[in-house]
Amino acid sequence: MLIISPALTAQTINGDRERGTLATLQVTRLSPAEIATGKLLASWSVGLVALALSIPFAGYAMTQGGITVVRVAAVYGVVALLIGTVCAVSQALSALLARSITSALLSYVVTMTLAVGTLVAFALALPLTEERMVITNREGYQYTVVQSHPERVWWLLAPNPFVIVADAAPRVPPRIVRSGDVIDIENYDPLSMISNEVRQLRSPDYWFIYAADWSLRPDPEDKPVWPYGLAFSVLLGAASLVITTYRLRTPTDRLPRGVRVA
Amino acid sequence: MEPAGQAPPGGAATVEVTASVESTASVEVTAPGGPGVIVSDVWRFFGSFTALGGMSFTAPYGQVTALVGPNGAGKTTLLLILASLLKPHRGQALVAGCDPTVDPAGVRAATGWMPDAFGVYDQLTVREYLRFFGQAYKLDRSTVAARVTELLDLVHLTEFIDQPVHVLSRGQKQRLALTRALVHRPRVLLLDEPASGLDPRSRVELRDILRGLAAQGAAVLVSSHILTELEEIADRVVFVSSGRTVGEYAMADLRAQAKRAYRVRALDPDVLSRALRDRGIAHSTVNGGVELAELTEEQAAQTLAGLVAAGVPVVGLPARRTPLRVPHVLRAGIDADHQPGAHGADHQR
Ligand SMILES: Nc1ncnc2c1ncn2[C@@H]1O[C@H](COP(=O)(O)OP(=O)(O)OP(=O)(O)O)[C@@H](O)[C@H]1O
Ligand SMILES: [Mg+2]
Repeated sequence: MLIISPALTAQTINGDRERGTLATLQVTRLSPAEIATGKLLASWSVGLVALALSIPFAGYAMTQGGITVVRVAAVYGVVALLIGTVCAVSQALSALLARSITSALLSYVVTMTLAVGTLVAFALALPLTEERMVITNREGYQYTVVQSHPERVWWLLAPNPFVIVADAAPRVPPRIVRSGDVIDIENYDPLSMISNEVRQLRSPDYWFIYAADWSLRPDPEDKPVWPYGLAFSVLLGAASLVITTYRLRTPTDRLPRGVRVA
Repeated sequence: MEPAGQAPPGGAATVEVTASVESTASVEVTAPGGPGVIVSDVWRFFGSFTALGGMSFTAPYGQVTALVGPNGAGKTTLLLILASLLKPHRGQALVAGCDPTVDPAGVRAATGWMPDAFGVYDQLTVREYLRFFGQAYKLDRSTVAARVTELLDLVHLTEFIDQPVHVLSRGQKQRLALTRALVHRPRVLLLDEPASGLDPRSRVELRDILRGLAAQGAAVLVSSHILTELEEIADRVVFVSSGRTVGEYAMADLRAQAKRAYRVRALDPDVLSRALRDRGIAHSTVNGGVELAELTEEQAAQTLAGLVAAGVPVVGLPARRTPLRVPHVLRAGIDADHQPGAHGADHQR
């Protein structure tokens, strides 16, 4: 999905301009916002059709057990929204740049940044949060640990589409294994694993800090990450739509070099 | 054989033509119905390049106005400004009473624009294409449906109604583009080179369509780089070159001014040449016939009357089919390639 959506949308504006079909739309009574929204819906719905083609596989997975309808629906809903964001961003790039090849490439760069760049950024940012901590244990011994603080940079992962989808998917009822004080949540499907990982980053359990007194240790928190990611996506999409609309306004005062209106 | 238009400028024709500029311009501006398009001192730059350097003219309702100039003269740029797609950097334009910069919506509702380049959406059929634009102009469904049938009938594309748009030939696409510009019954029509790519029959049809629209009261502005292409379509001609207006004429005046060579045929060629010599009328013998030097229609009529009065048995005085020529004053700015000189006869059918 992340690959086809930019391809669908990256030419909608500048490609239309190159073909000479944009200006004929702009002289009608359609407003720039209507043109931008209409074009976005068109490419988004093509993306959704492509998404729908994968439903049989999900259905197959469901019959194999474990995965509920609600879960599948949630995953599809979120993926559908994310496709919309990618389409909107590619469209804005298409409206900003003169050449459709440039905008297509750049929308891949943006998509890759979201999918991979966020991971890299997180990996690079994590060492910067390292802190020396002096811990006194129950026996009164002191020792130093170098501790990084993922809870300060977890948000770098929030815009990652895979994180959003994984974290937004309702949990498969986890098997909870208690052995004394340790509560083990066992989830073995990939989405839940990703989700657990990022949630732990958000509120890490520094159990060793409480080495002196276990009773002070708070219960592990389970704060979701996806609302932030999804909000970011929606905002990014909306901002892109506004940019596109702005760029479609006529009469034009300045044209990019080498662009003719018609 | 070479038309006198090829001679260096500065002859008597120059003076006459200059005089007619003022008279036509003032008559047309005050013509009843008022202008659909007023362009006053419009400038437009692209970077440091001046595409329009103070263009001014008017296109009245009820008439077809031709915008004629060589490649790069700024015709397309001007039409883009009038169609509210491009901002003028200086000066003002009024289209159907609205300023395209201030009230583009008002201009769009009243204006049909047909670009010179014509792109289409691949998947749509002719019917869907027109219906789409009808809806884009916010017409209601039943109006659109009726309009589509009516317009396709007008341009003879009815048989292609369910064909995909991209299979149409260039000329057919051109005609479809015209229907698109007409779908919302605009009062002002801006057509960029509508005749290019049309075969002679389609040109005649285009002429009839445009004349019909003008007769219904629309202001029609048509661009071309060939004057002859619009000779029979336009009521008025605005000559532009290098982004400026260089002349504004009524087509009838231009036609009256135009000098053509006439061939005289008489039952007795000897009597004819004697009579011509006696009267001091310049003539030459070409291909076994007698040809008069270039005359205006009025001069030709006088000559004929004189010959008949002198008892010369004149059989006919056909004008050689030379096309209208751009007046001398304008020639400095207008590319010789687009002069209907040696190539002119090709354009005349
Ligand atoms: N977007 C643009 N950027 C830079 N220069 C431009 C742009 N549009 C037009 N020009 C320049 O402005 C001048 C006028 O162009 P325009 O297209 O209006 O000419 P035209 O009269 O329509 O010519 P033609 O008969 O070839 O269609 C040309 O020299 C052209 O190079
Ligand atoms: Mg042009």
